[in-house]
Amino acid sequence: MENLVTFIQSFVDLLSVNIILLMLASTALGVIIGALPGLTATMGIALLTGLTYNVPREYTFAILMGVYVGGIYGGSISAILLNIPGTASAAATALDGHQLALQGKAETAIKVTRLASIVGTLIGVLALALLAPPLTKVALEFQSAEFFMLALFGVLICGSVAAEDLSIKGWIGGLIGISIAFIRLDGVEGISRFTFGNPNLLSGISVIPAMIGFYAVPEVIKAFAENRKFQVSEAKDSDNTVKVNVFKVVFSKLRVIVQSALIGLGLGALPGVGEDVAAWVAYDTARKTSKDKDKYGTGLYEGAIAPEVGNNAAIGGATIPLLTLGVPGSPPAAVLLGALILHGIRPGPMINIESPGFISEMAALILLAVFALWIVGMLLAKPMSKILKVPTVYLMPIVAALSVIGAYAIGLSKFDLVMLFIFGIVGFFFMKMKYSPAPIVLGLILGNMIDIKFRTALSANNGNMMVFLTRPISLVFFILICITIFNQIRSTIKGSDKNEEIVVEEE
Amino acid sequence: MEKSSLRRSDMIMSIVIALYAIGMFIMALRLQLNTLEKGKDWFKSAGLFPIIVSALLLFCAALLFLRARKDGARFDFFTSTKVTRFLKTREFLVASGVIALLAVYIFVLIPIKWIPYEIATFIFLTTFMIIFNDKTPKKIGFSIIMSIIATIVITYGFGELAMIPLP
Repeated sequence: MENLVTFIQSFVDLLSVNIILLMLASTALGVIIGALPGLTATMGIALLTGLTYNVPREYTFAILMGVYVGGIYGGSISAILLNIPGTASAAATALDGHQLALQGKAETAIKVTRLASIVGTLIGVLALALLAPPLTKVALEFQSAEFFMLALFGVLICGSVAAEDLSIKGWIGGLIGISIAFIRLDGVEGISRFTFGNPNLLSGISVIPAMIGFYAVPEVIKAFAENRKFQVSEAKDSDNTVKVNVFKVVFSKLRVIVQSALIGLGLGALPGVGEDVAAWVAYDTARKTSKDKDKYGTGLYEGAIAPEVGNNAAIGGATIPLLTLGVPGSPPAAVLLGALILHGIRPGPMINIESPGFISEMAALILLAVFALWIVGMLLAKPMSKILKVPTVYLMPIVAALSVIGAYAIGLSKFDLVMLFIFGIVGFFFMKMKYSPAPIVLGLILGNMIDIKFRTALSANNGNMMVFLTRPISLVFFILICITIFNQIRSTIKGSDKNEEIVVEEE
Repeated sequence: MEKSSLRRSDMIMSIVIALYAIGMFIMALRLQLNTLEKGKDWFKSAGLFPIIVSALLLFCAALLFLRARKDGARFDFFTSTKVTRFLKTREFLVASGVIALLAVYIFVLIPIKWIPYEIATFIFLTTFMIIFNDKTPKKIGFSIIMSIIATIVITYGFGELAMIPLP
């Protein structure tokens, strides 16, 4: 109850003209970013983290949360109108959403997915506001061994789930990310590690230029390399005489909503897993548990509702471990972690002591973004089919120029531009070879923490490795890691990788 | 990418990753030995965790190699014909072009002190848009107009109004 009151109080405190206008603008920007194929919510947050470096903290997070919520929803618009998900989290929405558009129900489908997104985000934000504060108390029990195991588990599970082809590639990505994080002045021994005498590397690889490199530059290259041409459906219903009650359509699927929201929350809270997987699992579960499972993929409203509730509920879910443990639940949350650190917020068990009220503030910002999404969604629904027709040839060079500013603005260092360029090229080749950037970025962000916590745990126990097995929470994570590794090795050797099946099916 | 091509590239990648892991292992081992030589505790060494990560990476690279072989990938693609064909594919040429444009912007146009940032960005955007657009006078004109608008928005919108430091 106390948490709810604090949450409502934070929401009321946010209601200033500046914040509301910023939230409307950033949510609109998020919807557009999410809808345009090639631009993702993660990329939008990464770009804007760099561009909002000088902006006061409360405004920065209003902008970032607006883009986050708008971006995750925006992907569904292009999924419906183009059959190309603007973000990976809307891929499942395209299956039934685009069929609805082909049946002349594009406008209703957009309205339905908007309401589903709002319901999903609301459930996620409530979970964040109510569960995160007590979780920080539990997290206070965590010591170095637990943090090490949790972060390692996060990178491994992210690698397993986010991999676009073989899961082993996700692990390789995560390990490469961790190894990149080693490049810096070591905090324990005070010696430079893997810096090759370059003073620019002593403070480590800057996370934001690397993230922009991994997420934005490959998309710019891909957009031209693939020469994609889109057929955009009009965002209106063919039969205007029939008025569909969107509330009735959505809330008549209450079972799907509750089920998908729980899936979204749970998977969102798993380190690094995030919205994309939540949407697919929500869709698949809704299909398997439906009486009309054979009609899925032919234009069922519940086929569009389930993934949208799932991926939007994952926003709140992903923010819970981000704020309470400092371990992001999704790729956009991983980028947000970079933004939090940049603005002097240290997420983790101490957050309620070091930055009191910040969790409620973030939850309130997401709630405000929900209202903004409602308004912006209505305003942008019709013009969106025109926005989606903006040719890549004009859009992507501008994204490239913004990437350069975003990478430079934080450290004011030309070296960051070199990092942007290098990681951009590496990111493109990785993308071609079906390596997801999510585990790499997660490894890069958490790598230093994993290393420090590992050695701190050993130091505190005079080098006794049993510290990782004698503490209950650490032991649980250790068992989970062992199970994940065992399953992975077995499936890789046997050739029964689930992720690979998805890729082959898509081809 | 087709599955057969993907597995071939996986095979090459597994070797690259293995070399990367071996390199990291050697450097990390030196760090570990330095720590021991100084008489410090082994578990405080900066090389300890990199040794573990490099070993894991090597293991994963081996798994990837085995998997690629199992799926039929072989070292039968390093022929001049196949390499030439790959270098002439549209995707390779376009990707090289975009990377070259970015390189010129980041390493040439921005660092040159006598070219203001606005002009550098305008040149970059215009060149980018014209190269990848249809070469009709209308499209070229529109590309130039779009570049001017984008440059103004970026330079004055971000640089002056939002006070974001520009390169």
